[in-house]
Amino acid sequence: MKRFARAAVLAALTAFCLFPILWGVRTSLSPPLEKALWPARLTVEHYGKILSRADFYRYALNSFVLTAGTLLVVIPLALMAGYALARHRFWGRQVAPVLLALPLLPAVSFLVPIAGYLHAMGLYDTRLALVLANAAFALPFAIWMVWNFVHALPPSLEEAAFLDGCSRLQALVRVVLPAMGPGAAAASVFVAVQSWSNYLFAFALTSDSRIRVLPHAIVEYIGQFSTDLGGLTAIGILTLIPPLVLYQLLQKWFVAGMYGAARP
Amino acid sequence: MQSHKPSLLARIVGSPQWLFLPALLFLALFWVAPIGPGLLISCQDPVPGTALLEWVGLANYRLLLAEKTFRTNAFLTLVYLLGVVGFSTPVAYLAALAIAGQKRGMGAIRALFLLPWVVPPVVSALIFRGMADPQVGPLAALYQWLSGNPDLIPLHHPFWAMVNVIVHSVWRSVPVLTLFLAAGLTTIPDELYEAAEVDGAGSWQRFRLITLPLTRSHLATGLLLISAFTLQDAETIYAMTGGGPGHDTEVLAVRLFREAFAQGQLHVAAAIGTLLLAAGVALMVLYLILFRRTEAAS
Repeated sequence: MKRFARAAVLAALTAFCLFPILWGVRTSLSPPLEKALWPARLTVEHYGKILSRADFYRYALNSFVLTAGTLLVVIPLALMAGYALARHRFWGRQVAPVLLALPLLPAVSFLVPIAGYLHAMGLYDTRLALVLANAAFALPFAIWMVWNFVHALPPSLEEAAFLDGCSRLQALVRVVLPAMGPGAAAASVFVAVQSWSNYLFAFALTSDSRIRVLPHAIVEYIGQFSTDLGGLTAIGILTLIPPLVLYQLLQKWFVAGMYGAARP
Repeated sequence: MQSHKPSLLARIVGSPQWLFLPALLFLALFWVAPIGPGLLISCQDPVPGTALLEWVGLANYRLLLAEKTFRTNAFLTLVYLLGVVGFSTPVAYLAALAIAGQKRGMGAIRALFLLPWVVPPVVSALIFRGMADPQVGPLAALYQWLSGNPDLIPLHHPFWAMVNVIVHSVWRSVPVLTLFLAAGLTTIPDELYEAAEVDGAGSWQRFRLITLPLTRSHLATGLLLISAFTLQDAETIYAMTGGGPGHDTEVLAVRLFREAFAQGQLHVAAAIGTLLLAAGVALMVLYLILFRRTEAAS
C-alpha cells in the first residue's frame, strides 16, 4: 500500500475502532437529549446518579470477585497444560486440537443441562457456579496462549538449569515459571476480560441480586431505564474502565500473545 | 547431581499426563458431559399438573420445525452470519494490509485495533443501542438518511434493527479477523510483491493473485472463529433489541435464551440447543480439518 493510502486507511480504522467508545463517553457526560455531537455543556450528573446507588458497588464487587476467582482456577490449569503440551510428546498432543476448538461450540446450547447439573449439585445461584462456568469457557484459549509462549522459549533454558544441578522441579520453579510470566500475563488479560464481560452465564446460572455482576445489572437497567441514555452509558463506561486499565497495563504481553496465538 | 527419590510433586511435574489431566477433566465436565443430558431434556416434556417428566421422543423438534417463527429464527441466523462475515472481511483485509506495511507506531496501532474486543459485549451493545436512538444517535441519522425516511426509528424497524445488530457485531469482529490476516501477511515475502510490481501488476491484481491465495488459510480460520461466535451470540442482541421488534432480530441463540431463561420452556430450549450444537460441531470439524492441513504443511 502506498504511504498516503495507508495513512488514510489507518486513520479511518482508528476512527472506526474508537468512535463508539468516544460516543459513549460523550453521551455519559452530556445533558439528557443533547443533540450536538460535541455537547455545549458537560455534566457529571449521570455518574453522580450511578455512584450514589448502593447496589452499583455491590455489583462491581461481585464482578471483581468473579474475575479473581476465575483467574485462580484458570491460570494454574493453563500453565500446567500449556507447559506439558509445549515440552512433552504424549497423547495429549492428539487431544489438544479438539480441546482448543471447544469454544467453537455454542456455549448457549449447554446452558440448560449445565443449569440442571448445578441444581442437582446444589450449586445453582452461587458464585462458585459462575466461576466454574466462566473458567471452563476461558480455559481452552488460555492453554493455547501459554502453549505458544512456552513453545517460543528455548529448551536450552531448562537444560542449562539441569546441568547446574537443579532437579526437574527446581528447574521448573526457578527457571521456567518466571520465564512463563509473560504468557501468564497475556492469558490473564484474556481470562479477566472474558469473565468480567460475561453476561450469558450470569443470567442463566444466577438470579440472586446479592451475587449479581455488572453485565447482568446493565441489562436489567436497560430494561428499567430504557430512555435514560446518559445513565446507561455512564454505567457502561464505568464497567469498561477495569478491563481497559488492565489491558493498558499488560498490553505489551497481551498483544504479543494474541498476535502469536493467531498463527493457525 | 542429587540422587534422591523424587518427591510426589516432582513426579507430577515430570510427567505430562499429570500436568494435562486436570485441564482435560475440567473441560470435559463442562463441554462434553452436558451433551447427553441436553439431548435427554430435549426429548422430554413436563406432564401437565405434576412435577413429572415424560419421554416424548422427537416431538419438541417436530414442533419447532413445523413452526413459522422457528424458520424465521433460522433465516435471521443466516442473515446475521452472512452479514457479519461479509462486512468484516473487506474491512479486516484493509486493516491487516495497513498494519503489515506500517513500521513506526506498530505497537500502538495493534493495541488500538484490539480495543473493541476489550469492551464488554453488553456495554458495546448498549452504546450501539444509543447510537441508533432516533433523537440523538449518529447511526440513526445515517439510517434515516440512507432510507430516506427522517422519522425512522431504527430499532422499531425490522430491517434497520437487524442492520444495527450486524453493524455492532462487525465492529466487534473486525479486530479478531484483522489479527489472523495480519499474522498471515507476515508470512508473505516482500520479494513476491516487488516481482509482481516489476511485471506491471496493479494493486488489485497483487491482492487477488498474491495476498488472497497466500492468506487463505488464515482467512478461513478467522472466518470460522467469527462464524462460531456469531452463531452462539445471544447476549449482544438480547441486550440491544431483546430479539425485537417482534421476532425480527431473534436469531436461534436469542430464541433459545428467551425460551429457557425468560419463558422457562427448558425442553424446547434444549431442542434448539441440540440444533445449534450440530451447527457448532460442523464448524469445529471444519476447523480441525484446516488445523490438520496447516500442521501438515508446516
